[in-house]
Amino acid sequence: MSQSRRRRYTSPRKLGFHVAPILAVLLCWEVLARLAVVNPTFFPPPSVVVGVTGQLLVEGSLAYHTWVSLRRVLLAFFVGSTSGIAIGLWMGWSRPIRLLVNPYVSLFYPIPKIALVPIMFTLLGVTETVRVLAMSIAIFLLVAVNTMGGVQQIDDAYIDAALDNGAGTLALYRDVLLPGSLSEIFAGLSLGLGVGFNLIVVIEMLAAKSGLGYLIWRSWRLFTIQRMYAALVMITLLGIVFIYGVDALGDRLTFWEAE
Amino acid sequence: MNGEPPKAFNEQNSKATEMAETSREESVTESPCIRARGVGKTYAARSDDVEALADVDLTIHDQEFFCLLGPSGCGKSTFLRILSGLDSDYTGTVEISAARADGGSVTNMVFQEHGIFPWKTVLDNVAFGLKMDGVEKQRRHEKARTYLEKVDLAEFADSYPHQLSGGMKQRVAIARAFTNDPEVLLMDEPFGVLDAQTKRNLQAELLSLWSETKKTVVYVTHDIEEAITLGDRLAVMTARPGGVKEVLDVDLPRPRTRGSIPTDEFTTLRERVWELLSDEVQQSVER
Repeated sequence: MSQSRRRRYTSPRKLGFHVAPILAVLLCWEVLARLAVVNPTFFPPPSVVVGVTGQLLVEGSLAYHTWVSLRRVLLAFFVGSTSGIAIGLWMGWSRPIRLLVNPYVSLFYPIPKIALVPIMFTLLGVTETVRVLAMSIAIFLLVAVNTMGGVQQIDDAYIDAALDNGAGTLALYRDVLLPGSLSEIFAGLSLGLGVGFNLIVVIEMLAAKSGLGYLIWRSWRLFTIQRMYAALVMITLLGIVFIYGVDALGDRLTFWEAE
Repeated sequence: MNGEPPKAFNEQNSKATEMAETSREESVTESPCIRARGVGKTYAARSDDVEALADVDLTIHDQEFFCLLGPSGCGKSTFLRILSGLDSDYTGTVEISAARADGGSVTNMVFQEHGIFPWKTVLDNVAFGLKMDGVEKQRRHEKARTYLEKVDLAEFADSYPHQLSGGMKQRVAIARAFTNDPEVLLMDEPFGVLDAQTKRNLQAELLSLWSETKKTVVYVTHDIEEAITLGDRLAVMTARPGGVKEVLDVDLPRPRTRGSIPTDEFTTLRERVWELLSDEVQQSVER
């Protein structure tokens, strides 16, 4: 069903195919920057960026900003995904709940969530809660919509079989609806994380005094370009680890769909 | 619409238990297990309501292997869902005897496909019904293993369904149904998608399990030969709206294995059923 979406990073050979092109670009960049074909002030050679990143990490400031961003993303991810899965399952199964909740979800789903942040700041003040809440909402919407779709595409025979074998409501959710929609749930989580990382950077640029987004913006304004790249490296690493990590976890947990 | 879930009537219960002690030959008596009277079902569709079943009268005896045969779309699956209690929105009455003292389910369904969960191991699939009944883990796994052995899947207990062939999956479904130990087994074309050879093997396995456990079986199929091979009696259904056209006795000796069925009688019966069925098939094609 979703074979094309499935990525397998298991064999080192395959991993090589993914990493080699990236290394090639970095190498070109290194050479061009060293030869001053591109301006090394704006495009410092990757080796220098790596050095600065390591230095700043050890020094502590970069580690601090990374931790702040990471904590925000994790909090928002936890709140958004648990509520999204719960409401999504409920909407998927119960028609009345779907009719009740879906109009709101459908309304907010296509709005770029960043556009809502000023309203939330107005309502709740420029607080940590709002920064996390804004991301949570974005993640919630993506996860809820995907989960609902996942429940609705479950083959009726699975549900009939569960009911015929005497499953009550709790067992139906636990043994059929949740595992049956797991691959859509993970697709939603992965999308949600992507949006979450986007939002955190923008929110931190606009309205925070800490975090990687803040660091990127401030470094640019202060013309400390190497610091800016160091922050960029960290946000990239976080994104890769979390988004592909969730994908890989999803593939593992929905092993039966790989065949 | 006065749809009610199938009722149980108790007066047959003690008798049924007594009979379970006696031999197969004697036990196939006329004591009714399922009584359907004037059962009708209409699906509400946007443009036009579709009448799937109209006025189905059927009595299925205790411990009988009963086959429902009909053209596709004649509502035989619908009737099975009504018997199972999955569909409670129908007219008429359905009574199923033998309320369970142990609280287990009266009926259990074997589906055509997708009846077993791909996210559960074979063992957990087979033990699923018992889990739902609150049987503790060790006991339900023990019982599940017993039936997995009977269908030759003992060594696949910890495998997942996607690692099994289509025939093996259906054996898992059958093992689950027998593990649940219902009074009535409802089977909805369980071998419909299998190849001929696998189908034949599974029919033989099913018959042997059935003669061991003496369950009432209601078996839906569109395959005439399958119905004759398996059934004590068979009902030929009319085209939509489905009703019972005729009920025939299958007077063939048991155990019925390949070669043991008298060819002449088999052929005569098959021709007779085909005659009854062909009008209906014609009708359902023309519509």
